[in-house]
Amino acid sequence: MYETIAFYLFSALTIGLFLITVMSKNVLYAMTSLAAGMVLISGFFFILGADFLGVVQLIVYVGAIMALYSFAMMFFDATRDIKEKNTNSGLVFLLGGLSALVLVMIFAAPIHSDAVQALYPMHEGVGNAQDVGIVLFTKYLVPFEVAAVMLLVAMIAGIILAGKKMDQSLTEDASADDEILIQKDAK
Amino acid sequence: MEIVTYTTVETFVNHLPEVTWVGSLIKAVLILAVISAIAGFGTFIERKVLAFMQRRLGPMHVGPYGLLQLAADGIKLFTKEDIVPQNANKLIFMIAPAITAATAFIALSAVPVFPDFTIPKFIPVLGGTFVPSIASDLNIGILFVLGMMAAGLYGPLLAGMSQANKWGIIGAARTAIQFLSYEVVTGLSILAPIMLVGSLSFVDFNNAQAGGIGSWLIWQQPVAFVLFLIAGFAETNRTPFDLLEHEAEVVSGYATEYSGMRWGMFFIGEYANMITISVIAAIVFLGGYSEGGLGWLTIILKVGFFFFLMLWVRAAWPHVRPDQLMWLCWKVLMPIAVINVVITGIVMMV
Amino acid sequence: MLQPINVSLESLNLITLAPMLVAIAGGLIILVLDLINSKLHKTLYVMLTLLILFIDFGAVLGLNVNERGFFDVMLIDGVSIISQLMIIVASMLFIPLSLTSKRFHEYSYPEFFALFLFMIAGFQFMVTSDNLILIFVGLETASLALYTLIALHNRSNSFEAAVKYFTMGALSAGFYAMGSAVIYGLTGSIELYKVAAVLSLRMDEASIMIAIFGASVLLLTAFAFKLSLFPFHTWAPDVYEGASAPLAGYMSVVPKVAAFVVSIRIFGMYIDLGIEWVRIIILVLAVGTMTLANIMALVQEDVKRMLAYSSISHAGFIMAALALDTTEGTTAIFLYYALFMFTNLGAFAMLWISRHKVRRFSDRYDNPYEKFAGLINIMPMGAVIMALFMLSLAGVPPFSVFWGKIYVMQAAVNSGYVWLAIVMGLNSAIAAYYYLKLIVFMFLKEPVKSVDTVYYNLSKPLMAVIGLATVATIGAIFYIQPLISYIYYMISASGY
Repeated sequence: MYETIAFYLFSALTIGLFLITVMSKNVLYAMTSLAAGMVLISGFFFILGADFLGVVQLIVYVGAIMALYSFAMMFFDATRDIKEKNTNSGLVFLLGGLSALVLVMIFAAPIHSDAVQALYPMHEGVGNAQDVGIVLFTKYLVPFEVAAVMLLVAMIAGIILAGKKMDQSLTEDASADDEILIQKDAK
Repeated sequence: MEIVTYTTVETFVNHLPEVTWVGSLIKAVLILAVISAIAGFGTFIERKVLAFMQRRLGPMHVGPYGLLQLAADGIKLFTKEDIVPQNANKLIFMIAPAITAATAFIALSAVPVFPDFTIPKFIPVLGGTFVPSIASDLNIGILFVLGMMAAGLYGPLLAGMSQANKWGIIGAARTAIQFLSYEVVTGLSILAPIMLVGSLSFVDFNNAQAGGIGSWLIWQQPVAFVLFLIAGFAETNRTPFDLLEHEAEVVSGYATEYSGMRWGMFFIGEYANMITISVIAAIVFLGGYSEGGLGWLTIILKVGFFFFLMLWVRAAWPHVRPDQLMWLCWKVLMPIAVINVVITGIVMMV
Repeated sequence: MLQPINVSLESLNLITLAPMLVAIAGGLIILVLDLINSKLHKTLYVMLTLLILFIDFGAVLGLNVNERGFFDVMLIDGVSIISQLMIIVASMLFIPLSLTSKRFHEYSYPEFFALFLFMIAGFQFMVTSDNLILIFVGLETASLALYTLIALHNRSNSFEAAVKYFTMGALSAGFYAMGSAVIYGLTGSIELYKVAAVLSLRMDEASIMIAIFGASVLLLTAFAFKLSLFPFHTWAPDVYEGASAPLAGYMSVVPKVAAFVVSIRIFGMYIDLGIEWVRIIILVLAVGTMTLANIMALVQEDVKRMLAYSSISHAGFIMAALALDTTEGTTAIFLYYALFMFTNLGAFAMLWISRHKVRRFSDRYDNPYEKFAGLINIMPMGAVIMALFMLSLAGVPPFSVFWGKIYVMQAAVNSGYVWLAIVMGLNSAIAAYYYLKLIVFMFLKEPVKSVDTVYYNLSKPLMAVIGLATVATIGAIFYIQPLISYIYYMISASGY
């Protein structure tokens, strides 16, 4: 009973907030509603009993949207509206609505038949942090570690692309020769 | 099959009939009222403690020993004009303080502040009711509290960005970097005790250290304790890390344009966060509350000690520069935290 | 209550991870080496990378066909081995191209080589799994590294290229994740062999068909972006233009091979299940891609953009082979890429030796056709080699790509798609025009500026790579038969 009420409450709120995210012309409104929507999505995890994932959703998205804010801080005046060129918004609404409908159908279709079973069911009396941990460190250890490599790549990429050495481009410096590899005969 | 270990132990609470939502509501209101009151009282204590450390008397004029200063401040805050700057994004400007205050209290909902107890029989209506220690015992309590405190950083951030004031923007930018950076240290430093206890529930933490002072986790994890404390200072925006509203540099940072009760909500949120951090430190590292008798008094003493420590540090230490803050976080604290986690893991395996 | 988990080390089959671990360890070694001494010359890193790639190559050769490892997440089948070998060989051809006589920005970073190795590991993970999560993570690892490698060229249009590629990549990652989510909701699994098992039992349910349609459209869109297929190809020419020439050549082969492997696994499964319209969509995409890209290539003024469109068109050819879903068709995919790889990398390497730091021949383009006008007078050998590559790309016998084209057409005819073979033939004829246009410029026109050297960026290692590519292009007739039988054996062994 409470869960049903909570579900519909959270659903209405998330949809409303994400609508604001899309429609608003103010950066601050858009991002704040995005953040709030993401926080409310964690509510669904709590309703489903996936406390751990709920908190992870909370922490990850709070941090992620925070980074978005810092970009907004750099690029926009948060107190002004953004000038958007919206030609033919009716068509956009129609197409957006249609694709949303199609997506809902696609995702809802398999639900009618309940042949889906949990591959890794929860253990009774064990917190789901432990259950997630066990799956993560047995079956999904390889994807988990590759994700670590991915983050390493992203970190290296971020550091060198933002580094000071990028200020002066060797690519555009016509005098930058390689002493070891220079061709003697080619002028 | 009944092998009880730390990882599989069911908290005592779970076996008991669930408290009704009325009980939860009462507790929520109680926490809200008590912590707000303590937060208000905290300002008075802060001024007194700082004054004594600086050989002053502090507030003395209102009431005996200046005790009513608290009420005077409250009246001032409530009656002050609520100003919203002309160019500000009004809605966000008005929401922001509520975010700080709300998240601070939501975080407290998963923190046990006293042991379980049964209401004595002689009290009418409620007599004999069993009261669990927490408003909601999540089995991922620590993560929830940290997550909620992380969500709390939206308060200063939005406040700074919405007020159309350059000091506010700088305050907001500092919020983003400081809180995001130190969240890493908080999480990593508390990871080592979590590994030792094998649970994310505060109740399990408390039970794991039930064997007296010798079993406190601070003896096994001194490094994690110090790291957590430092990061806790940064996360609650306390000196020496109070760059968000550093008067000498950015007027009042994110709170520059705020007045009256909205400013007061930031204040309450900040003090509630201080209490939360103190409670977490007390439970995770200093053994928490002990069951029975005057066990609830021990945790209040521990929390009081941490609260006092925050004031003490404020009196004793100067501010750091933003670059020093970042240097400290990423080049000193985080590597130490990671090494601590690795060593803990190795020790546990051997 | 949780039981302690016991996993025996043998059951993990750790050898299946060896090739990727070699690449990742190599990347870490390079990073550490840079940390110890930051003054090392890039030749050391190039040689080190080559060495690591050799070890990687050996590790791949040491794998047994049709094995699973690590809780069945890793899948070593013939497709995966062949594609890994191709990825590594293409990388070995690519890496010496950094030894140019002029200094370019990206090669001054040791991290360039580390990221390159991580990227290869990502591609290898992508092709050695039928677990949609691992495929996704591998894909993203490789893509993130690739975006950075493009941007490291450090001039304004390479930033533009990186950002464009990144945006499109993010979009396609979103489509991929959505598609995978639908598959998971449909079958409760993200491992393709289990997905196939569940789907084959439930093919008669109408609601399933809707969801399958949704999943395959989403996944097709994702891979159409990665493979630069017709309606989703618009990023490709700009990205190729912004990237350095060797990287552009590399991008037209390696990421596409990896994406094709995943496409074979996913869409091959659908077609095997008898979902005929997936085949039809793929055919439409393929025909549209090869035709439209060809027409666009006709009007390009820049050789690099022309080559970009040409490689899109070649991808269309190969996509058509995917739709056949026969052993011969799948063999054709790998055969085509194995042959195309040398020629295409050779052609882009020829652009690379003629790369000037400032645009001397046109304000807009690096490699306009005018730059190559009268190349036969300035650099006779280079002109002949470039002409060879162009003829090969055009599909003139006996050069390498000709055999690929013939094999694809043969596979199409054998599966009853005669019209497809005719469309391919017509497209080859159109394509010949723009390849010959460059030859005409090189052999029949007078040089625009006689004083400027075209071979500005030449060095011995570049000559070696081009020589190798030339030999592989000309000598295709000698190794084509063993190559076909090896690939065919591998493909049929893994059941495609």
